[in-house]
Amino acid sequence: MDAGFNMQEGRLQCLGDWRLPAVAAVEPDLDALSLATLDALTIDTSAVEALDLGGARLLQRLRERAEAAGITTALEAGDAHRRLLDLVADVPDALQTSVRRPSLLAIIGEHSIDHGRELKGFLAFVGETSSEVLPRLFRPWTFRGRRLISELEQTGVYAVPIVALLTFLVGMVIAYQLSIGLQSYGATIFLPELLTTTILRELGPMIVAIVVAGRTASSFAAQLGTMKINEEIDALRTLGISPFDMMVLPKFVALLIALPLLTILANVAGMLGGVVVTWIAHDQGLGEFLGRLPQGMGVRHLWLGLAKAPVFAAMIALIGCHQGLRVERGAEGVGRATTTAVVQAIFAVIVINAAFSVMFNVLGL
Amino acid sequence: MNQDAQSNQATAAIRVRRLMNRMGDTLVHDGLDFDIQAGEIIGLVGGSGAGKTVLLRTLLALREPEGGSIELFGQEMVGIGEVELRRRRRRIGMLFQHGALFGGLTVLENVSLPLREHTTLSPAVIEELALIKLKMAGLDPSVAGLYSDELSGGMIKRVALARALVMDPEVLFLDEPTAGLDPVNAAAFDELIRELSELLGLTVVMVTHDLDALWQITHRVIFLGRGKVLADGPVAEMNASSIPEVAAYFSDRRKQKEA
Repeated sequence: MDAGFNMQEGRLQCLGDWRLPAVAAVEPDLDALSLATLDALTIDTSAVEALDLGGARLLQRLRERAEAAGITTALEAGDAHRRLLDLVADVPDALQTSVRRPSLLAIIGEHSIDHGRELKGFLAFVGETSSEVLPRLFRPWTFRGRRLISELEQTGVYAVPIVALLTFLVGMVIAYQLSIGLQSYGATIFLPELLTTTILRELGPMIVAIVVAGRTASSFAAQLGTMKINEEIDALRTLGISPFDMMVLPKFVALLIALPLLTILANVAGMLGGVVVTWIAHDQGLGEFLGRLPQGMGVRHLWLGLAKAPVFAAMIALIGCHQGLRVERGAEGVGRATTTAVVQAIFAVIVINAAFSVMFNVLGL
Repeated sequence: MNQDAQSNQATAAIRVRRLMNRMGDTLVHDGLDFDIQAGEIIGLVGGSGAGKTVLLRTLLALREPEGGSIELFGQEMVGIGEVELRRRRRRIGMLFQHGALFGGLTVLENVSLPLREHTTLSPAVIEELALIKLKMAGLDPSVAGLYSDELSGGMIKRVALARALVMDPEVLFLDEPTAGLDPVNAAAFDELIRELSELLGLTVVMVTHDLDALWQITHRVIFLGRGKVLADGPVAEMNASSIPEVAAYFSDRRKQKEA
């Protein structure tokens, strides 16, 4: 039988099963009891089938409410029930969790400070990495070749299919859109020139960087973060091995090599996508397409695009490793670091790309 | 709270019959039979790989056994639907080995989560009950606002114990409750479990390697090995056991203790 009670002449007769979770149903009824007219309240649990601490606390609350109103209370209960009510009689003071809602200005300020601190931490990390990396450059034979190869495989080789497919599709889409515009002027013949500009200079490097930012920054952050919370990073330090040297440097160098190579691959795949479209839609064959390339200043765009790739690579690797190494708060922190790494890396790629555009423009390249 | 169990001595709190569990090709449990009476504190013992944790997971219905039956207060726990299972699990509290506190929640939120999920109690009552349970677990209310990574190992166990008790279960399972605690803390924790068991009429099943705990607080020890219950009785009878594994487990440890 579910929990229930009868209230008659200051006598609360409790009935049924006063246990969690079902006992919660009587809470509103108990709260609604009017005690104002009473001089004494008797709580009788002798007819209760079962009582637990949850039910006992509800009765005790009623008792405390009555006593606060100056009503004397009595308890008619067996020893077992009496003991349960005693157990819940003394609620420790809850800590003052006064949730004060901060003002908008305070929120903005707090976020600014957080971001400033994060930037400072990142710069410190860049400095630390540099101080580890620069001495290495003079002693290249001490470099960890095997780790580098394995990182190259992870960040470069395994990214080949996705990068090739994505840029091929983007090349096709761009070619279609450009040819629609050009057709109205009868100028589809200039498609190769336009394609080289967009793909070699802008889209190729950027799409590769974004894909790698998603794939590799997250994996760097997750790997290093997991090592951090397993105390593996600390273990390396105690064994006299620098985690920068062992973990960060190979990743950094591997990405510095892999990203330009992936960009070349992306350029080829993107142009192929364009060729396929011109071939299908405009009957311009591969030979004709390639024949126009040197006139389209393709080489200059190729180099300008490739020049950006190492910068992207450095940023992605540094952000991924930095986020990984600053993980705290256990496994949950790893998840958060992974997300932050991807967001920051993609953000950095797009901002740097814009900065390059402005710079090239000013330099007249 | 366990009046119905007391009034009905014939029904064991937990009754396991012909329990079979297989992990890959190995038969971990090859027909386990044992009863646990309400209010008992049972130590579940056995060498590494004897299937203690598998048994615990099976008793919690986190794992479906290959065969056999498990009854909790006379109600079958094997082969029933998820909805019915969820209702019957409310009579069980579990303290996981590493606490399994939820990372994004404070101590108070961790402890009050089951109440918020399963009852319609008002937030004020929920907070009171959670604080009472924290106090019973021997914690100061000032820890209520902390996150699990701000707690020491002993405090994590105590918070996890408070969370396991918050729905007023009748059976409490403990997986190596004192592993990783210093001897003073471990002894205090054992004592706390004994007190709570007496106070609340809890039936306690603990997996442990801690011989001190077995001697101090258990009424009975169930020794698993070779897929069977090798021995079942008070710990004092164990080192006189005629079964070599059981005798070795207890006598070796005894020598170490005396040395």
